[in-house]
Amino acid sequence: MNDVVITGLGVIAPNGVRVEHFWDNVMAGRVVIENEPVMGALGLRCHGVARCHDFRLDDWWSGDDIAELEKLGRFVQMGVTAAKVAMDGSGLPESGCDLSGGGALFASAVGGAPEMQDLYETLTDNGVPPVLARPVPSSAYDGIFLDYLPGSLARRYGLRGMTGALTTGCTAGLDALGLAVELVRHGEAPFVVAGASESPLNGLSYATLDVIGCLSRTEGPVERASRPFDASRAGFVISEGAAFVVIENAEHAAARDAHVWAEVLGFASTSNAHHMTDLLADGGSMALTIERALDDGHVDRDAIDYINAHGSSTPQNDLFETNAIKSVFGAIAGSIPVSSLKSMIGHSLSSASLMALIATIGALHRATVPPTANFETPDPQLDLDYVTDGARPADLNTALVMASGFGGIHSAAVLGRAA
Amino acid sequence: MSIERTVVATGFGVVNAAGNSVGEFRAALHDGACRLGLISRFDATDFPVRVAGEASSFCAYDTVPRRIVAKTDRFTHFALACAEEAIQDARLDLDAEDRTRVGVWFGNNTGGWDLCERGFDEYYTQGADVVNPWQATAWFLSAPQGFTTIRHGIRGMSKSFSGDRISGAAAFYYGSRAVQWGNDDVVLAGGCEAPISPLALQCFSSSGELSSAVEPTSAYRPFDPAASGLVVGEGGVVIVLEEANHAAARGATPYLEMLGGAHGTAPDGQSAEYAAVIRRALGDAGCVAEDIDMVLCEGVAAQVGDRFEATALADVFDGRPVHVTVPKSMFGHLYGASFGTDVLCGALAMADDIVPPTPGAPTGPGLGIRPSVATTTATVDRFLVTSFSRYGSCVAMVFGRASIAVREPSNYRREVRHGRTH
Repeated sequence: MNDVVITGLGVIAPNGVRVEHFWDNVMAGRVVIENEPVMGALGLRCHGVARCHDFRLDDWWSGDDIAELEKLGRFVQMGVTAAKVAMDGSGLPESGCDLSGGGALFASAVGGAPEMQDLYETLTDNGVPPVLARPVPSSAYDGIFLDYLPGSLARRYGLRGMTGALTTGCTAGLDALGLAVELVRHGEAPFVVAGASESPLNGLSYATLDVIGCLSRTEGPVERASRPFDASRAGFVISEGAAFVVIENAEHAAARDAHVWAEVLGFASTSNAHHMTDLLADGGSMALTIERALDDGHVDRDAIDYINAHGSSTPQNDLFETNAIKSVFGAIAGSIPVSSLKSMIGHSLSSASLMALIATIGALHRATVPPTANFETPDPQLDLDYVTDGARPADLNTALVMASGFGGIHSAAVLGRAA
Repeated sequence: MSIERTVVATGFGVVNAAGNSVGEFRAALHDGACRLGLISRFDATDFPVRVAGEASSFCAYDTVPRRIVAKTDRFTHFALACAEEAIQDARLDLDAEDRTRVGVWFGNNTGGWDLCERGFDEYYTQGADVVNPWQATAWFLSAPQGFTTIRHGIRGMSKSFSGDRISGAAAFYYGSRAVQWGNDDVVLAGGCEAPISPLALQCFSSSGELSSAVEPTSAYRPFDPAASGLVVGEGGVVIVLEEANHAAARGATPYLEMLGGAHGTAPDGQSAEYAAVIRRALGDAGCVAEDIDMVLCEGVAAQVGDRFEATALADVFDGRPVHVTVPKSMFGHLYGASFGTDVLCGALAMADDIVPPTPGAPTGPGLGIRPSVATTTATVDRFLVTSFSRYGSCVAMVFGRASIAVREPSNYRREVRHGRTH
């Protein structure tokens, strides 16, 4: 089977819309969580959100592209842009290579949920049923559902391989990467541009997540609302953004002398078959996932020198993950640095796991372990090295990225530093 | 040493406007009557879309426990009912399986809008702090996957896909590959769709691809130059896919074998690119066009899309006789459940020596393809299923009788990763 490398990166995140800037802020532990007045007005217990304020369509696009994209949902706009950055950065478009075998895989958990809420408001009087037979903008379908984005990438770059979208919630970004890796390994495509985008910042999304206690209920400054691994953690902070990578056959990349950001060594995904949202404290289902990802990449446990955790800041997740790591790595668990990107930029559902993956590539590339922000009070049950005192220089060769999501899904990928 | 892995289907479950079980659906394929009707779920009198394929007699409580029905949307009810039937049909005893090597691969385009509309109602009329606590886990597109894994204790690799009309095709294709590549030994492949709610239908109709006809029996007319679009239906399908030796070891009899497939994209509406995907699928299956007895194609019932497909098929089959049919014109286009339902139609055609009907097919010249309005008799040993999306994602897969499937190994059979020596 083919070896697989990452040759392109694109990120539109609340803490940076250019990869190097994103890495700068990740390493600085800069928190970009802010107050969301809509949540207050709705009477919700959470008040924090993270937005991509620096994302503006006209910084990246012009003319007809803007005209087409501005009619579509924000998740489409951010996703198409991150994919363009990843593709252009990979050097493939101007490499002279035949791109027709390439594919595009997209992922989103809620797609155009805010656009759907807008549509509901348009079609009702003050939100009160019934939904009326009023005219609907012709862009509604493409701005809410998921077919447009991968298709538009195929058109833009002349890809004639597979295009499609995964919808596996908060693991979906990593799952798109995992499927892309399988496709390249098995020779179904020489490269696949894979990524996720999400902009779930609408009232109904807030309300549905708040009512089941997922969103942060911490007191005090909103900047500290996301505090993974802290004893007083009390839920995640919702955010938005997109992340794409170009997954390429290592030989294909070498033949065109491409810059390689990292090697993808292994991937695995399982379901806990226990509950749609709850996690068992023993971490067993994530332990199985990590073990399978390591086996998939023929990577020994003691080779892992950094773990970028899901670290969502919910009481259950952070304990679940800690116990999974302890169960897999045993005596060496305490010596592996573990950090959570969500401490700084919140949780953007499907794209969070790929932002974490790009942050991890930054860690390998800069030989620096990113910190976990907002940590103050240790939890006696959480006793790993969570890198709470700022970024840490380290010789990193192999790293693990983990994600869990609604529906009881767990995914993990193992990355190796570019040779 | 590489291990060849072949994928067979050993169990079926289905719900749609033409039946609440494989038995009812099979009878409907023989009967051939159109099951589309005027929308009855809500008052659609003023809506641009008036006709749909409603699974009116489906009762979730027949197969889904009451407490699960309460916290899930209609699209998940379909998936759970179909999974139950398929697992029973396959005589699959999950207690005897390694549950970490069983997966669920489902397609769904739309999500749970029936429940979501109720959520909006609560949100705007009662307050954001009192929305239904099930909303968050019931609405999202991979909810059917999650609830199915929980209900049956399934812990292997599972994935859900969305992509307009190929939502179910992608799930079926990659679910098959997951078995072939050794990610799973058993996969529940299929999907579900429940788009017949006012908000969802309004959104679907914005695509401009839905029939505006008012007369149900002539609302969905694939390859008719005068057709105005497709008709959506609701329902689900689940097919138990297994690695052939795994099926044999537990004494299961396969209904059919997955011979090969391909997934590509024709983003600019070039039929030659669709034809190239179909040819790749045939090549992957070790087949040539002459080997195919029947094609179950997309049949979008719109001039541009029908010409695109008719030209691609003409390109591949080049005048060779082949039965082409679009049985979905009987019960509506099921998006996430569409492809799997076509595979089931193919399996029933092989078993019963029929070509399923295309109610609504043109009796005149049509667009180069002449499906039969009525059920006809034919021997089907191998069939092709094709699907394409709004933005040109194309899936083609070839299936055949498991009993005639002994043949030279073809290039689709690849080394299984978990079997490698370390």
